[in-house]
Amino acid sequence: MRILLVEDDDLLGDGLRAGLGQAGFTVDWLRDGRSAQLALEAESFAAVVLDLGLPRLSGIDLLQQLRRGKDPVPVLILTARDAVADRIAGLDAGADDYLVKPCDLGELAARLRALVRRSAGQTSPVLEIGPLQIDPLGRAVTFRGMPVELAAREFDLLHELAREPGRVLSKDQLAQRLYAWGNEIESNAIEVHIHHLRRKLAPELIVTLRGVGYMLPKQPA
Amino acid sequence: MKRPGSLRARLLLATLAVTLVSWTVVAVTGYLDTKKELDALLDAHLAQSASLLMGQLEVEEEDGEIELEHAPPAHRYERHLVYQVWDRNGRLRLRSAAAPGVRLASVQQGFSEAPVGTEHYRVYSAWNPQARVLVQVGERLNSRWMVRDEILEHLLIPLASALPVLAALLILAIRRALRPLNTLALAVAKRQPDSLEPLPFAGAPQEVLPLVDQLNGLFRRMRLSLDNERRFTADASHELRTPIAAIRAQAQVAQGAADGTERRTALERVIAGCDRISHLTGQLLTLARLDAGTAAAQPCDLAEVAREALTEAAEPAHRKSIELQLDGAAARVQGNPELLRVLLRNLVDNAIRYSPPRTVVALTTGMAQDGAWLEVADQGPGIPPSQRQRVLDRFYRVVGSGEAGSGLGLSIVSRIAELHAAVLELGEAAEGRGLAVRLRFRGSG
Repeated sequence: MRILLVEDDDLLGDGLRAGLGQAGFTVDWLRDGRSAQLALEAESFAAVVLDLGLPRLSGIDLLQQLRRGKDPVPVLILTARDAVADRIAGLDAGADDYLVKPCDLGELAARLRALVRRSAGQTSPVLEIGPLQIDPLGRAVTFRGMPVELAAREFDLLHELAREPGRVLSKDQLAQRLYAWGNEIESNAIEVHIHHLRRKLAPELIVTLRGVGYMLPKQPA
Repeated sequence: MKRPGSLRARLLLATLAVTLVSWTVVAVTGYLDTKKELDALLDAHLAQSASLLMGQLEVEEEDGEIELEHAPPAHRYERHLVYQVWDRNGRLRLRSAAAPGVRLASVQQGFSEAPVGTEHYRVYSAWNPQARVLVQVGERLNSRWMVRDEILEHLLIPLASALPVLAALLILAIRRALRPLNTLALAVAKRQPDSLEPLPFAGAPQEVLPLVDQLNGLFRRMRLSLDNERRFTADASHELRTPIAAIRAQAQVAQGAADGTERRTALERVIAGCDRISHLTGQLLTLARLDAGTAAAQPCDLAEVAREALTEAAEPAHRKSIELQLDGAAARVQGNPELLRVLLRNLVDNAIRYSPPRTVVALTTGMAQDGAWLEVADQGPGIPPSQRQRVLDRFYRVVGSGEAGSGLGLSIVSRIAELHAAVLELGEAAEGRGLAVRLRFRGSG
């Protein structure tokens, strides 16, 4: 899952990026509100971790503009402002969650997973699509009752497809959701991962629509 | 009333004392006047009686004493009046019933006073040349004294009886007049300890207004400083939370690190975070101490202090390949060398922090006509004029500076300058590039 982290403090931003990376998130980190706004306009993220005191465009302003533009991306405010009035203002401006610094990385990751889950309309933390079970927390996959060992990127790819079963996702969309900026992507990376997934699971599980993209059917064969 | 120090008791005592004294003065002068008038009146009466008696004495009889029959006294004072008629041979020819047998007065004419037997008399004597008799009319002085005493009584009795009534009325009046003070005291007493709302002005009398005004001024100043303190505390907690969050995140990253390199990097960042927070805490403590009061001043040389500050900054400057320059002409000021070093250290630290590598930070001191001055100039990005005032605010950082300063350095500089009554100016360094901070001290050490 690709997360946008907006935090102007170098040391904290670096720690959060590394920590969320360890938790299995793909993290893009920006240091000011204006750049974050541009990034959100151009690309799609599973969720946003937003600091409030940001240069150029404050977190609250960014959030309000985002919601005015009908962007439904889940937003978690992570700030040092702990006053109740600030929390209320943040949530009322359109935030989905509010966490005060300093916080536990595990809790932050769990809240992000919950936000993403809820935004996709799921109730259970474990995704179930036919014979396929995906546990985003444990990063574990079970197929027809048997655990399957997947590489990190393979898991991420399967997870992205499973989050929106029945929807066709293009290679570009998948690449965008899987890779942070600055990561070199080989042109056939997605195809390679799909190939591995089919081999480890079942060839017919992921459907290819030529020239369009890939899809995990709601009721796989 | 109960406490001797109370306004009410003082007012009451003063009013009563003034009343008593003025009343006594009025009574005494009234008594003296009345006595004078009374004496004149009674003397006139004596003289008149004498001339009336004289008019009745037409026939002079050679011999024998003539007893005149007396009507019973018509007035209570009448029996105190006596008269005698003496012939030229010194024989008593006529006297009133109560008159003594000896002469009332030795004088032939006019008023006199003399004791006769056990009595004192005031006597009017008149010589009748036709009848060739001496008429003397006397009045017992006792009776005059009685009248005087009665007048005195009439003056003093009301005074004695009216004084308690007056006191009671005064107590009521004073209590009523002082009621606004009680109301004010009650309003102050009833306040919550943390309430700094102004007291209501309405209904306060003119004498109490300055007090209410001063109290409200005090409340206003307290509220301002309390607000400042609250804002500072809020800002400080905010500023402390971010580095703590960073340390925690980095520590957790180290915990979850997959390999040694990742762990080492994260732990190095934990240490960097600790350094940052200890710097911030140090700056906060410095500021708190500066806020606490003034520092002892002694003569010192800015050039000397600048030299020390540069020695301390040599290491961080070297790391960024920044050249430190000192042009230190003697600049004597009256100041606290410890604080001045903190000031210079902060200015030099800032200059190094915000300057690009391989640039120059120049420190200059000198004497102008009106006093010593110092300047720290760098070749960094400078501060736009619109933000030069705001950077002195606590925790304010120039947006986009990309540096993790405490946001307190220039606040500390500004506060120390204030304690030295020095003028702090932020401007552009030479060629309009970089920041130049100038401090002008008044007078010399």
